[in-house]
Amino acid sequence: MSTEHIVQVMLWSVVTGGIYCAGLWLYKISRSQPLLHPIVTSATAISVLIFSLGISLTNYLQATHWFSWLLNIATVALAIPMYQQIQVIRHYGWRVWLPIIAGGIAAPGSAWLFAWSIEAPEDLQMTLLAKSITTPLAIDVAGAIGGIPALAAVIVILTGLVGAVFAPWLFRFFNITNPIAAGVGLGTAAHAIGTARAVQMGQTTTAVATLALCINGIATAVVLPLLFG
Amino acid sequence: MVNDAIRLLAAGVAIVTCLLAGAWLSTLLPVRLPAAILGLLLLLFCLCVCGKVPNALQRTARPLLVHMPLFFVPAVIAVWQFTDVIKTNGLTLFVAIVVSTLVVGVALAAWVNTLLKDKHEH
Repeated sequence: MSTEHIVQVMLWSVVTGGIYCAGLWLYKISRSQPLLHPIVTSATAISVLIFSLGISLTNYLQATHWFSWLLNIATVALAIPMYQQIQVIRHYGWRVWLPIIAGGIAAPGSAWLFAWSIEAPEDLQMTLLAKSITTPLAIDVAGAIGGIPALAAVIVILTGLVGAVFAPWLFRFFNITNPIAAGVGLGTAAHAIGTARAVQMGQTTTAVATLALCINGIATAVVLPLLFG
Repeated sequence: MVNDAIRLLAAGVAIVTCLLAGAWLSTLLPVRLPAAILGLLLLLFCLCVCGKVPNALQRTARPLLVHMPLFFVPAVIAVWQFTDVIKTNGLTLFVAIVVSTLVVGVALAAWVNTLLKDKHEH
């Protein structure tokens, strides 16, 4: 590792962290406006910075690559809220896991159906099937079933982002107040980003979203390659 | 003070160990599952065996969970690499990502909301 690389890593990590903190503050003073969620404001501000200063995108991504490690560590830590709420999950039984499984089929299924109906390219159709599972899994699964791995990553991230930003707002609009219901919706439709959003909505929501993330991730990874591999 | 710092550090090491064990496990399984999900299940299993969440573990995990959105920022920025694909398949991607995600997410939440309401009434 060269000194220059280390400097880049430190610089871009601090910039990303700093911008995120500013985004967090903005989100707080805006009283949690969905469009001002820190992930949206940070990504926008950093994109503007990169493009206006003419910084290479590859440089930025290489310098912040270690964030994916932190992401993995945080994902493992989701076991804690899940454990603390395991009684709640057990208590509601099928009322929680049945919708999670149904949603795990409906989310990619509906996306695929649309792509199929407008006769989108077949590799795109296959890629969409992996849309509701967490990124590393989606990349592998898309590759295994004849989709486009790189596109899978994009679709997964955008799916999570849209779900995390707009779903809580829609829950309020449709008067969906039960924290378990919110967790099933977020975790099933918007995987890990939705689960990260659920953390801000309370422990029950987080636990149920994590359950959805695990069930769907594992089930999709096992079932899709068997069907199409 | 020092003892406390050591406890927090040990809790961090425990989480990372679960992740590494998950990474190792994922190479052994016939189906490839992500290391983080396997690590999560391992930690969950350990907690079930242990019967409670150690205080230090709780305190180490909290900032990681609360600031999880930060760790997604580079992944979102990476989407810029694929503007061509997005432009070519704009409509399909829009419907598949925006419409399908929100309709399914909200319909599911509404369904569970009703299911749980019924359970409380009975």
